Amino acid sequence: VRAVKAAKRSPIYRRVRRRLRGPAPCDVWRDDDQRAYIVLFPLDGEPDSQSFFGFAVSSDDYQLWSAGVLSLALSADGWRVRHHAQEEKESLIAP
Amino acid sequence: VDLQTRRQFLGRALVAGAGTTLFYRLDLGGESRSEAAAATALDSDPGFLMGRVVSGSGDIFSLVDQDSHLRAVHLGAQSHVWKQGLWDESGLAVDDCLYARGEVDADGVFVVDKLWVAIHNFASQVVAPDSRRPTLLLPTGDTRPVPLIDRTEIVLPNGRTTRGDASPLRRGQHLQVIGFGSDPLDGNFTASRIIAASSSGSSNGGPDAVDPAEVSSAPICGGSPDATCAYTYLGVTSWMCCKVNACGSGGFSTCNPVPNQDACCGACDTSKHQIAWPNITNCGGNTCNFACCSCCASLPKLSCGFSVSCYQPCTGKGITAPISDCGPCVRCVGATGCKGYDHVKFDLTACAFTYLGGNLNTGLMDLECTVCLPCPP
Repeated sequence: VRAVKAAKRSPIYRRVRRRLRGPAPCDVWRDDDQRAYIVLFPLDGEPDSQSFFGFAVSSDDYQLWSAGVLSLALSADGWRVRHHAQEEKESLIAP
Repeated sequence: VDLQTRRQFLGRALVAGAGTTLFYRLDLGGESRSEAAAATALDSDPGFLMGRVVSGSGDIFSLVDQDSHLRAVHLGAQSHVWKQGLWDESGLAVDDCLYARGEVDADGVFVVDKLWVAIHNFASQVVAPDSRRPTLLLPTGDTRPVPLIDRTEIVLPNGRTTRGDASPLRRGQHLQVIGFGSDPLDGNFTASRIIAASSSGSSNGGPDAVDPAEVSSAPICGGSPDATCAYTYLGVTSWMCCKVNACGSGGFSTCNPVPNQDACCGACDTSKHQIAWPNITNCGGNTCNFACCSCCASLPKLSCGFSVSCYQPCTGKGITAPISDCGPCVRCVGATGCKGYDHVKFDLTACAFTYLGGNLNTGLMDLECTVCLPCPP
C-alpha cells in the first residue's frame, strides 16, 4: 500500500493518470533482487501486446526510482519486454 | 509466460531504464509442466484456453485469454484445428476466436491438443422447415434462417445421419445446433451439425435414475450421519458458455465475455469446470425447472453451487463441478454415444466438456452424474 501511495504521489503519476485505464494498479510486487516494489497500472496498448505504466519504488525508503511505459509482446524470439524510450512513451500514452 | 517470470522481466526492464528491451526465449517442445504445479484452483483448468488471436503465424501465436492476459499458443505436430466445420483444413489467423484444450509447458506456452475456431452451440426449435435454410428459434427469442452446407450433419432421432439436407426436420422440433461464424444473432452463422430431438426416448439413460442399484450408500458421499446416499443419473450432456448470447467462441468484440453475472447462479464461467442443472431451488429469484422439453426426466431439485460428480463412461474421465446455471431443457436425441444414452439432462461448460474428452463440434456426449442426497426412508 505504501509503495502504491508513493507512486501515486509522484508528479509523473499526476501527469499520466488520465491515460491509465483506471486508478487501481493491476499488479504490485516486491522485487528483492532490485530492492524495489514494482507497481503496474494498465494502459491501452497495441492489440498484439499488453502495455503498462510502471513505477519502481525503493523498498528501503519508498523513493521513486524509475517510471515508464512497459510493453509485453510475443515475437519470433519469444516474449519481448520493452521499457519504451521517451518519444515512444509519449505516443503510447497519448490520448 | 508464468507470473513469476513475467514479473521478473518487467521489473528488470523498468529498473534498467528507458530503451531497455529484454527477451524471454521460448523452448517450444520442452517439458510439460506438472498438473499440480499448473493447477491454481479446484475448478480452474490450465488445460483449457479461450480467447482471441492477436498476432503470430506458422505454429506460434499470441492470444488474449479469458483473463485478458497475453498468452503464447503453440500448434505442434499433434495439434488439431477445427475451423469452418472442418478439422485441419486451415490454420489460425489473427482475430480468430477460439476454445482450446491442451497443456501448458514449462515456459508457460499453451501447447494445443484440439482447438475450435468461432464455434457456436445453442438449443433451438424449427420455426419454418427448409432443406437448406430452415428458420430456427434463437436463444434470444428471435427467429432466423440458418444456412447449411453440403457437409452439415443432420442427426435424426433414430441416430441416422444425413448430410446437407434439413428436409427431415419438422416444425416445432427441438434441436441442438452447432456451427461456426461470428455470431448467430446477426446472421453470420452456418450450421455444421444439427441434432434433432424426438418426443420420447428409451429407458437407457432415460427419464429416471436407475433405481435401486444407483441409490446406495457409496464412499463418494462419505459416512455422513445424515445417511447420505449417492444418486447417479445417466444421460447425455450438451455444452454451454453460460448463456452469453448464443454460446460460442466467436462473435464478441473481445471474444471472451466476462463471466455472466446474470446467470441463474450469479457467476457462471465457461473456462471453469461447472455444470448447469435443469432443476434448481433458487435461480436468481426465478423458477428453474426444465424437466420436459421434447421428453421428460425426473431430476432432484438442487441448489446453486451444489457439487455434482460427473463421469464420462466412454473416456473414463471424471470431474466434480458446482452447479452454476439452469438447464438444459430435457430432450431426447438419437443414441450416438458409447453407452447409448438418449436423454439430454446435463449441460457442461466448454471447459468441463472438453476435459472429459468431448469434442465441441460433436455437441453431445454420454454422461453419468452422481449427487449426494439423504437416503430414501
